[in-house]
Amino acid sequence: MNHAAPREVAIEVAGVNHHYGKGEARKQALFDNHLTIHRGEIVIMTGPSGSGKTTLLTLIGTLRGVQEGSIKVWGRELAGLSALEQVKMRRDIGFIFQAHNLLDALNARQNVRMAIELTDAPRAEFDRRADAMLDAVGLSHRLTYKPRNLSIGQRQRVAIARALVNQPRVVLADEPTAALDKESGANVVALLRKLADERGSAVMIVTHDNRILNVADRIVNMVDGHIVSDIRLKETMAICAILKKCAVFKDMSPSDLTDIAQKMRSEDFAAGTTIIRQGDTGDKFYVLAGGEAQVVIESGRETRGVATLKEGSFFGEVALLRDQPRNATVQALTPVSTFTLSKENFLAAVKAHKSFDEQLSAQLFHRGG
Amino acid sequence: MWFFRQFLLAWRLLADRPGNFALSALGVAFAVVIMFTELGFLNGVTDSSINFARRLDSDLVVVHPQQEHLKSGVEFPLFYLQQIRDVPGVAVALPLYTSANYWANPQDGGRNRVLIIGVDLDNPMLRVPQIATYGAELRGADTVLFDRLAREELGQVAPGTRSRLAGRPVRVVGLFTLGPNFAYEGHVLMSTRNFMQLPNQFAKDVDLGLVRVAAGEDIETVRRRIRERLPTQVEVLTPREIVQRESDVTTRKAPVGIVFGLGLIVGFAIGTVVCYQILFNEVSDHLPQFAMIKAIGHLPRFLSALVLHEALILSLGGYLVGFLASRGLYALLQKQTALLMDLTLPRAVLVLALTSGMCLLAGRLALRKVQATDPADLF
Repeated sequence: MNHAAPREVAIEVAGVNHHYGKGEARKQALFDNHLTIHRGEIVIMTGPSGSGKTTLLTLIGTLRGVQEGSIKVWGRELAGLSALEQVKMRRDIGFIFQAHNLLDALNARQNVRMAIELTDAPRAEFDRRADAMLDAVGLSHRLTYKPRNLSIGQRQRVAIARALVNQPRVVLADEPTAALDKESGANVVALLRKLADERGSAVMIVTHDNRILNVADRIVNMVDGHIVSDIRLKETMAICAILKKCAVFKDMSPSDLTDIAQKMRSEDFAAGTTIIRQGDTGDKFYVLAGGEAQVVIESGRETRGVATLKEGSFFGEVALLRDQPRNATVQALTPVSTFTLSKENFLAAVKAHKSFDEQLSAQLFHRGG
Repeated sequence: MWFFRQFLLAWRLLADRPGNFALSALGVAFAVVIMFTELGFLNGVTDSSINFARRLDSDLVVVHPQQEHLKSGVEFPLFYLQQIRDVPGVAVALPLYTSANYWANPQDGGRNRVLIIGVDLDNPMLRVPQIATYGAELRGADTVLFDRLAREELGQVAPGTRSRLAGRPVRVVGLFTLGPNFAYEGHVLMSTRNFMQLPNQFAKDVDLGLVRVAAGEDIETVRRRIRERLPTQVEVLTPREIVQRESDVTTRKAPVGIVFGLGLIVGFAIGTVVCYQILFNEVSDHLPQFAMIKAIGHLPRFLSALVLHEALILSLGGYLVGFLASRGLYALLQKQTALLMDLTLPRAVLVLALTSGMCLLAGRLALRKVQATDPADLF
């Protein structure tokens, strides 16, 4: 896994609070939220209704004014924008609303043109672009149909075509696939992925549709106005796959594994550095996500390399389980990237799952002491 | 181009629900018909009230200074006219006598109020060509010209018809064209000599003095000289001023003018309310869609223009229907009331302007709802 290249920040939310209502009825909906979304990232937001995810979405989409804190979209600060600037800002954002709100007096092509008309595109291009976009969502045979003559799923796809036709650099979507069957849903998700990959657009999707979770780079969970977790999906899956091989975690459910993965921190080591040293007190559990490391045991004056660890290995758990000093040294042979879990979190996870003795004996049995 | 796009979009929104649009256009048409009818009556009353004044063909008209309009019956002494004849630049100064009295329907004897006009047959200074045509006959005793546009209640009258006027037997020698107004059911014209035979008519009491200035003389100059000669005794007006005065009296002072003028305003108000209701519903039905238009980045003025274009299309549709209906109604009313109901171009344009005005005003009011929509509610 490569963490080296710093990526351009598309959306940066910092210290955002938001209140609804006035006076006695004033109610806080967002509490000190921080979120950074990079170029080309697809972020899925989940959370119970009323958790503030929609509020956050409307703030990023400049549909509401920022009250406290800062939101930057492609470097442009949204706090303090005038109403007119907000409207203009929205032209570079593709909105996919849960209620599609197509103009029912216009056919599919004309509805998509409503968005194209906001750009500087030459008039002659309008229909061609609209038709191409509708083709991309699989509606080339419904160009001149009015919404009332389309199925709910087809309407939703017209709305998606309208949102994406200008290739916006930010896409904000609210349950975009709720009304779609599996195939059209996958199709739409592929379109979003393509936009993110090719144009580098940042995509935020509020959804409960777990069929599309795999498209996301990150999953952000909100509860009661707080962002409670921000999972890098691919990393988490990689970590889970490694954890699964460890006897301690082997029988855990995916959600428990995900919880543990989330608590892990990324730590990188240069070639030649010592990651853990024999005799030190064990304080962390390591998952090796990239590079190679060597396990060395010192006995007396003799130093013996006992094993080479490759990507996908883990180490450091024995000292934690036994509450003993490290029984070996691990050195990075190449640049190494790891994810670490603190002793506290490690033991808590283990205890919550099985009886401690059972864990211990299972682990010791596998490692042969 | 921008205008056209808005217009097209507004049209598509309205045309998408043809049934609704037709009903809405009918609602506007209703207001248009009200306005046309009130305007028709207003103009009918005005046009009719000046029908006699418009026939005056002198250069100047002399009246009693306290005469407010031609129907007030205030007279001045003939003696003044004789003095006016001596004013330099005056070629002719002749009296015109008028009197309101009753005409008996020759068929059923019913009495109807008419205005009797006594003219100098040699120099009538009235735009009534039939005076010359029937000049010889009118010199005979008890002969009259009868108004062919007089109300039906005055009976079937043709040359040769005999009836009674102000209680005296008269014979109709010919017909002329003038028409009734709110004061009189019709007009009857006769020579000054015959006029003096009517009860209570005296040659020395003049209603109007008709002055012709000498060739090459300036009318204003002559008018000033007459005023210098008789500064307090008479008022000197031009026929155009007389017409204006009659029209003003009818529209501003007489209750009929005020009633119909008020009717016009009421029609406008009803139209505005109807139009507002229609547009308000139209906007309410489309509110989430309008919010979406805002959300994707169209400026507020895009929506304003859209709603105002809808208002404009509505007014045009309503006007078209209302205009056609009013034309039929005018023909019917003219037949029923014998009032002059002219649907002239300026009047048609005036109502069109009022209709557009009321729809745009209503659109402006309905806009407040559109501008208040919050696109954030869409998520």
